[in-house]
Amino acid sequence: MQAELIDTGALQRSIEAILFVASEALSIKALAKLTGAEESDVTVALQKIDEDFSERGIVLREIAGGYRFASAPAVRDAVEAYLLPPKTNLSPAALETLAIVAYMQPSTKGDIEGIRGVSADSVIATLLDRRFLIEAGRKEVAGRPILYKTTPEFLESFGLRSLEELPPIDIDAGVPIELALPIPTQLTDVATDDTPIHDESETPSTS
Amino acid sequence: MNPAPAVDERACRVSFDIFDGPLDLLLSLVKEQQLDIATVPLAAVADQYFAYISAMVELDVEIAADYLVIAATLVFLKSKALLPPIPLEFENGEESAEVVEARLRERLIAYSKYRDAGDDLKSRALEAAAFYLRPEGGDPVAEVMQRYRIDASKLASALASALRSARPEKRTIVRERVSLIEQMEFVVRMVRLQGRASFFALVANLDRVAIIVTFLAVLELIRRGRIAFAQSEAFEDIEFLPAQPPAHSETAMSHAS
Repeated sequence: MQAELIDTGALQRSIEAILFVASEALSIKALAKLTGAEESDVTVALQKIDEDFSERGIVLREIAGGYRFASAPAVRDAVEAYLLPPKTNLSPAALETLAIVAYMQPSTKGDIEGIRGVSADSVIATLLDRRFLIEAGRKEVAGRPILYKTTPEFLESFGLRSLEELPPIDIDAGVPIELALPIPTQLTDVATDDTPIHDESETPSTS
Repeated sequence: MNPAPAVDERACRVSFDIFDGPLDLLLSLVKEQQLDIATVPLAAVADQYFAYISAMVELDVEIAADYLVIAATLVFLKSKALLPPIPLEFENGEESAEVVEARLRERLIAYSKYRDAGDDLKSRALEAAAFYLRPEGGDPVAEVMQRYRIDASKLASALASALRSARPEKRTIVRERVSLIEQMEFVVRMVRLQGRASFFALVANLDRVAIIVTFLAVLELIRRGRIAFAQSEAFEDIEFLPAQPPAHSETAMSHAS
């Protein structure tokens, strides 16, 4: 069985077929497991597929930690004659929120609000609804706030192979942004109900 | 800059859509004047900030407390910049303007970095939109199960607890009484009255149990020789006729009862 598939033609065809029917990105590892081939052979076959499809209406796309077939950008108009273009219009607030979670995940509503300075309820609801964010357990601090992380759909919709592909942002995510409000002592009473959002003991959640 | 009157209503309505929170407003004001966020005295944009706030007041828009907190900070920074430094002996331990400003600046910088990251995401999304992927199968049940982490055992225990807490429903079940003897008498009567009787006609409009009892009655009557029967084909209607020697039928009946 294994020997048969080392035949690169057969392996390539198997991978093509799997990627054709899959509606998610499949990693080299997953493809190796599915075909019973070595990861190195899968890599070679993927390169071959990529070359073979370079002039086609379909392209091989490395995305969200794996590979998927996608329509070629050159034939976008033809595809959109058939499919309605997806909603891409995220508000700046949603994009910022997504960026915050993408860089700091898992993060809580409080983390987001701390950085953006406004309530994040509706924007989080939108992002959950669009399946760019998903709940990732609860942070073990007072109130056990819900943690959020980004989804594979996020990577796919933003054309990212992985989170590492995001450009570095020179904010040390580990350093809590000071939220005790920068106001003179005479006015602090106004803001005492503003509990600090960043817990000093930043313990990574187990979930 | 003279604040409130300069801002006309329509312009403000537009602005309310644009600014998303006090940091957004502050950052936009700094950028508007092409000032360097890292070095600009934040008090420099205080007037524009107040203009915006007073426009909101004018338009009777509900102002989030966060806007006012930052406004207070700007007032503080501005007053510190205008007034001569407080002599050391009057320092009451409150934070210096420098510390307060540095902290606000830090927040503003952090915010601006994520705003830039959001812009970066937007351009990536636009690029990625040129590629269409096979849509997911869209199994809404699977989606719900995944989202709420439901599995069969959870469903089962949820159902069990629902059943446990459910009030038992009282219900009276009346047994349909169809007596074999009565049906036998009925069949005999019909055969005698009409000279013949069809099974289909006898059971027409009867319920399941009554049909079965009627059939049993017929079988018993045939066994006892009380009636004769004829059927042209299997599953066809059965016709009943009076038994040949009707004379000794009474004796048979008395055995049954």
